[in-house]
Amino acid sequence: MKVESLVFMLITFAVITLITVSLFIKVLKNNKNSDEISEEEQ
Amino acid sequence: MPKNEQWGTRVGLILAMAGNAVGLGNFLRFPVQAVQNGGGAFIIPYLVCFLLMGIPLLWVEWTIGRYGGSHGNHSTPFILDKMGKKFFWKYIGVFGIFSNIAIAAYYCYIESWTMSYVYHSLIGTFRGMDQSQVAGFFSDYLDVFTSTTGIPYEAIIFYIICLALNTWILSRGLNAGVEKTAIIAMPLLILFGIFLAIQGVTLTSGSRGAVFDGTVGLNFLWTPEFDSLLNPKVWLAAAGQIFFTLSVGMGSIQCYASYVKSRKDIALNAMSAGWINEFVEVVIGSCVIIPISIGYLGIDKVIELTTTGGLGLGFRTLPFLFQQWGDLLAVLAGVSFFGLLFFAGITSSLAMGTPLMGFLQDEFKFNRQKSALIFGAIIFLMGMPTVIFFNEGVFDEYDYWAGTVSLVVFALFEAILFAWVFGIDKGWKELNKGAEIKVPYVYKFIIKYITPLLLAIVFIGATIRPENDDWSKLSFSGWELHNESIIGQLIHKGIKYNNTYFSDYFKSEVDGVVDSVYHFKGRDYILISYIDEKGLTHTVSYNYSGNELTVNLGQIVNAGDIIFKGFVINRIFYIDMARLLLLTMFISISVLVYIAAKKRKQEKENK
Repeated sequence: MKVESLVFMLITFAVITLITVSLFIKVLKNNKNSDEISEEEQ
Repeated sequence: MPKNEQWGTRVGLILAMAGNAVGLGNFLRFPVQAVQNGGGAFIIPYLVCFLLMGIPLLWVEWTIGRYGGSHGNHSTPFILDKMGKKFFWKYIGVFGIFSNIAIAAYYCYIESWTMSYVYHSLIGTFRGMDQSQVAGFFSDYLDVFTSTTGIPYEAIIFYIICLALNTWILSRGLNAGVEKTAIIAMPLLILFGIFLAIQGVTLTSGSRGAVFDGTVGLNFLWTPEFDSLLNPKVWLAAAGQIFFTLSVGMGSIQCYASYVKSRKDIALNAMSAGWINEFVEVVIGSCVIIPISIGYLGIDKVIELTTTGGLGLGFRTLPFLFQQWGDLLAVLAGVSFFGLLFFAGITSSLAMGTPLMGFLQDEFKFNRQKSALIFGAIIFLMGMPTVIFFNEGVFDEYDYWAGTVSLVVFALFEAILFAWVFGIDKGWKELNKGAEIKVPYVYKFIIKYITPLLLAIVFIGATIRPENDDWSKLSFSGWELHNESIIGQLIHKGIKYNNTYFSDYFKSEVDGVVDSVYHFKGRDYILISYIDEKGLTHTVSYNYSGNELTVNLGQIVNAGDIIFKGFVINRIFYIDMARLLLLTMFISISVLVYIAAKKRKQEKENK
């Protein structure tokens, strides 16, 4: 595999994976809070 | 869906939304689009379109949905009515129900293929078959009245099973049905995808019958051809892919979001679901079908196979390639590939069911079981023509008008409604209510100006698309339209011969040679081979059963020459009937919306 293709692919993969994982972790952190709020509301 | 229904957990909501977006196109359409549009360079316009059109539309649709839900509306006609105030907006909102029904009708059919192929992979149907036999199996499968597997009407049976499963899950409700399915299906889909991606990337030439390394395919897919960035075709293809992949412009995101409480976050949720889709599409999707198929067939053959889209590659070729991996791995790979396609399909088709159910529940007070049954029955009635007349082009008509044009039209309308009618300030405030991330302020400008402009360009581009996608031909003196352009489709530009509904003869549509005349499964076929402008040889076969052949084996025929005589129903008849069916459905939904609006008015007066 050509180096420029490999670098281009890996950078794209890394950026997308990083953003996806960090957003999902943020959701998971607040998922608990969100449920607690729901229970309080109920 | 009942009004008092809501999402059980936030993760469940995000997985359901991501499942709505992640569909068959992530694995079959995206890699093919990338191959045909400059390899690695495609990703640049693709990501630009994601940032300028995809993300803004996700936020707009989530906001519209939550706003509608807070006023007790769970489908687009009355959500748009509430936002737009003018009477016609509710009829624009009809697109948000129409598209879902029409797409579900043919989408469930593809979903049923994946279900069937999981079954056939498990029982080893493809074991010992050569490449043409595997390809032939798919053709036979689509020919619903023949069966190569001993199951009569197999395609119809699997279609009905698939519809019944969708209906049953929908009848269980948002939390116990849709959300639970997404929580199970999405992790499994990612797991299957990672397994196949590892197989694809680590494929080495010489092992398991592969001719090339898997990295040859990756290299081809990821080599940037920056020249293609100046080609409008690439940009339109990238914008189109963003539409299909995110399921925007359909009405299903608004419906799912309408069950989010008015004080809960949508900004972070929308981003999380959208980026999960990008991860599945770009990271996993690009490592499966292309590396594996190029590893066995080479680049030229794969380019040739993908000219008609990714379905052929997925269903005609991959089952054969998996057989080269040995019995156990072939079963695992087959179940993983078609299993992930099935999970991707069902999480999307469930989302297509909710807008109609929400509408029936809100306006006609139906319970969820009754609404789900009505959805299942309508999909069955609308879908059967795509199953029975698949080879006559009905499936493609549904896909073009409901699955392509409608989405762009509706997205354009809702972008204008949100930014210019409802008001960008009000819309921005609504989006940021309860937000757990700071939405970059620049998006206020993008949502107001850039996104509607891009959508208008996509729509105009699709309407006047030039022949061979040669945009340099555009001039004030006119240009030749592409057969697939909206105008080209409307005037049946691609149909030069056999352009009456019924006739007493059938004309050849290509310049070629009569390659063979044969009898197969009770039918008579004539096969004509021809060479296209790129020098590639193709064949086209016509069923002439019951008619009289007027040409002989080996004879040279020109396009327009009569090749058989007798009573013929031409393809154009089926195409126009499919359009009529879609139009009838759109008008029927509009009438229901009119009745519902009158009912609402009467109830208001009575109060």
